[in-house]
Amino acid sequence: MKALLFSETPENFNRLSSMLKKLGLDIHGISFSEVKADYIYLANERLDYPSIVKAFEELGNKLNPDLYVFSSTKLGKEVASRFSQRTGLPCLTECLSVEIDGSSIIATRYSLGGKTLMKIKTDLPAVIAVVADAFEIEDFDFKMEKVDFEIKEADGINVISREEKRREKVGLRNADVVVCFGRGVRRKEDIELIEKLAEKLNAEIGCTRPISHDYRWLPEERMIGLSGEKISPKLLISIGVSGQIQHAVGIMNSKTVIAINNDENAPMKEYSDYYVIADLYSLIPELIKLL
Amino acid sequence: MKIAVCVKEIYNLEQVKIIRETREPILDVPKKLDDLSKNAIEEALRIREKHGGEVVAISAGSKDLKKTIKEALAMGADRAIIVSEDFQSNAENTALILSKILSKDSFDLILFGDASSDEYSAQMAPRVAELLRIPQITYVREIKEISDGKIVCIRDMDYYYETVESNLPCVVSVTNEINEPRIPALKDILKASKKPVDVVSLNDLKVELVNPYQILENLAPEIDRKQEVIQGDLKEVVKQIVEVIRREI
Amino acid sequence: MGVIDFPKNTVLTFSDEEELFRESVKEFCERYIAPNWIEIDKKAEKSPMEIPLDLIRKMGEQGLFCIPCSEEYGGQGGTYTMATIAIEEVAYADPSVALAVYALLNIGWPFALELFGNEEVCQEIIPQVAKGKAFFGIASTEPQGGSDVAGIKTRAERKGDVYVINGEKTFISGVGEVQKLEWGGGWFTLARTGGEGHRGISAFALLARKNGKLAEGWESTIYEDIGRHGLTTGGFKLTDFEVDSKYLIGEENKGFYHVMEGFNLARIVVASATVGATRWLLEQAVEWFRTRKLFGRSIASFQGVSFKFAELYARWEAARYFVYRASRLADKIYIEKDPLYKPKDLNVPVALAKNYGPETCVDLAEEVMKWYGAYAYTKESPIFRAWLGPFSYVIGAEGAQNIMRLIIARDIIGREYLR
Repeated sequence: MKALLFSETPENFNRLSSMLKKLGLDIHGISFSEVKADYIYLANERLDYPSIVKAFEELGNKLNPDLYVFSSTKLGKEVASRFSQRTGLPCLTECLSVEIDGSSIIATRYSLGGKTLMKIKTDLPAVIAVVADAFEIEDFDFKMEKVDFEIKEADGINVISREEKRREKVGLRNADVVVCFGRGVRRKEDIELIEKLAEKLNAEIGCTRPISHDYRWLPEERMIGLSGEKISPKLLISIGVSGQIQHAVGIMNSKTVIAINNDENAPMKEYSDYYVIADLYSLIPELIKLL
Repeated sequence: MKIAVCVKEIYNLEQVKIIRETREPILDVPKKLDDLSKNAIEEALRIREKHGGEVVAISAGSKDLKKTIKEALAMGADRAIIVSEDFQSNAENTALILSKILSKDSFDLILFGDASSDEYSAQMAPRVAELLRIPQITYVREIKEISDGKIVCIRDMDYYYETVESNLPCVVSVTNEINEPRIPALKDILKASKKPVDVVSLNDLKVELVNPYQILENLAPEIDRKQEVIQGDLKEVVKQIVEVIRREI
Repeated sequence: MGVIDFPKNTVLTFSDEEELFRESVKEFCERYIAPNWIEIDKKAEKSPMEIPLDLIRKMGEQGLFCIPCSEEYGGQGGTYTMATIAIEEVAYADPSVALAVYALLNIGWPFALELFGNEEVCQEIIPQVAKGKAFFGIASTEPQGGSDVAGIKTRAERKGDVYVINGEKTFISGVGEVQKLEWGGGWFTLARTGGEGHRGISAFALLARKNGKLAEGWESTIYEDIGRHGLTTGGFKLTDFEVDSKYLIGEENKGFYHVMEGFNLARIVVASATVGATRWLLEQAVEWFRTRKLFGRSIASFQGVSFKFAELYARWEAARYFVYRASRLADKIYIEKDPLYKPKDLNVPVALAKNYGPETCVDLAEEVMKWYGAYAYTKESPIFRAWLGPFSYVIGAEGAQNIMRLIIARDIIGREYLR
């Protein structure tokens, strides 16, 4: 069986090609840089959906793959959806795992806002957008054949400018200890308190969506949750986090969770091993002293 | 400007409870307009305030939609066109229904939320744009300008911001950071019941529904946390936390 | 949080508009009230004049005041049931009930003013109250007591086009607010214009401050309350306070009857506030039961706890029925003006609601404090705030509990048998 893969970053590409290889697929992939695949269609960088959809159509017609795969980034999802509508193939986005079952695939994805995990089956050929973070890059014996390929410009939209997001290198995903905070921290200045604690514990700092996206106190790559990082530390200390399900799905794989909250009944309790009811402003300084 | 806003009704997720033994969700809860749909309506209303015109809320959903759609009208949409009957709900079918409704009229701009808070699939805007053969600008965080039949938006992508221009008509999906949706006041709610709601049937639309997906299961992930409460004297609390920390790292 | 959902119901039902309105109020409260109520209560506990003016303004913009008042007077053109819904939700978000009481006073009394007051005065006051720029409540209690409304001593003498008022009012809500809000405000006030007893009393719209200007002859004090600090309580003295005769509400010497109708209206929303706070308390209890273990078992597995909970839950549902039964009746009388229903039909339904709502709330608060244990006795826990706030309505604000019982007994058994 054959997969046609696209991802705008080599890292996501390689995670997904490893995942697909494990399923026993031959991997044809469009990439802007050197990546791991059986057939690498090294292409000029184009990030507008009309061109990528067109390229997929063209290559798809030639290769007749069983599975069209994108990383479940915003670009990946928009291309997957439009391509699927054009071709009439079924499409699943935000997939957390994929398996092949005869002439079908079975994918899992969150449903009901993260309250449930849905297992869903559809016939091949199909289009999927997969959360690349869920997979590790592994060493497989890829054929690594390079094919020159051009993504031709297609009509649709006119990109005027593009501004890279400044992305810090954040080691949240592989951290042993994570300190995560939410809206219980009232002012931007108070982050210092969190930083001191993190320093003592040699921990990475993470946050909930309002902190990174609404207040912009921390860069987006520190956001933990459904649309951000998914972490699996030995210890998570969660401070002033109410525990909305969209956040909780990002911490499910933590080994031990300590939550500190002044609301004795925040949903966060359900996701904690130790639920500390206290005012973070009086507790954290004391905690720092004792560590 | 003639603006269509495609909105979605979802279960009130806060009220969805899980049966502990079977991990099944209990879906016998009221429905509401999705929060991201409200961002789209809010943006449409702001465009109308600036450029004049009409805002039409469009949706395909269950029988409850006749009630849910009033939220959109109370916020300020001028009228609504809905399909309100039980049908096999999936992205393909909804996109088809919406595009059939949309193509009966000529809208300059078609707004969506970038995804829905329940399924987070983010397929609808691109699918509808494809069916209507018009461009899409997804994940819009700011609409910069609308003039001379063109729209300029700033998109918030994973790794970059992108300023994009498109001719109208065009499909735009917005992120929840684009605005804070207004909360309708009582007066708006009372006015909403007098606004026209056009209920169209699937029969009239002549859509052929498909069902390519089979849901094998949909269960809550297992959460197995100790949930031990620590509280009381601050010194004691701190001591206990330190113990846990020492044990775990 | 939705721990306690409204049970499915075919008796206590709401229209689509009413449900939509409840959702919109809920959303407003989740955004602006629930995250701030503890801070507001704490701040005003230290200094009572720390009034949440911004929030009051926002509530005004959202249309949470003067809900049943007509749109021509700047009201929301809603029903009394809509008002009852709003107050229930505001109190659920702020179980100290301070903001709910602020809102309910500015619903009940402007509406009573609209029922009996003259048009010019309504046009002057109601739009300001609706926008959150003025306060309009009730001032009837005097130093010698509150329950004996017929025995008030404040006097109003007519001199040409004005009444000159002398006297003193105590335990009055809003004394701070009228001084701090942009426009000002005042009260539905009673003063004696005739002889002894209830037939010698008139009602006035007494404005202590308007257009930002304080009236002459009005001297105030602010009290330190034990709860619901977000709303001020105080007293004022009237010394040769002049009121233009247009501010007379209804007919001269009929003030007692007018104020009793006003009290009936206000009591419905008072009861609704306590029903809202009760729901918050029930949720605190349920969440606690679901996580708290004692001697290795869930504390709700002790029937001493769960039976008590069941009893109080039942009282909450009953109180809600009483409240909405009364508000539907108020709609028949005052909104739909259905001739089949008379103002006096409200007496018993309102007394039931006002008797039952606050007592259920306070009894539950006390139990929840016990279930929580020592933590609830610290100021870290917010539960005592949902106890001491609603407690004001067990003591007597808007009518003492025994007066409610008296009304019920009098109407059911017959006045002559109670003498």
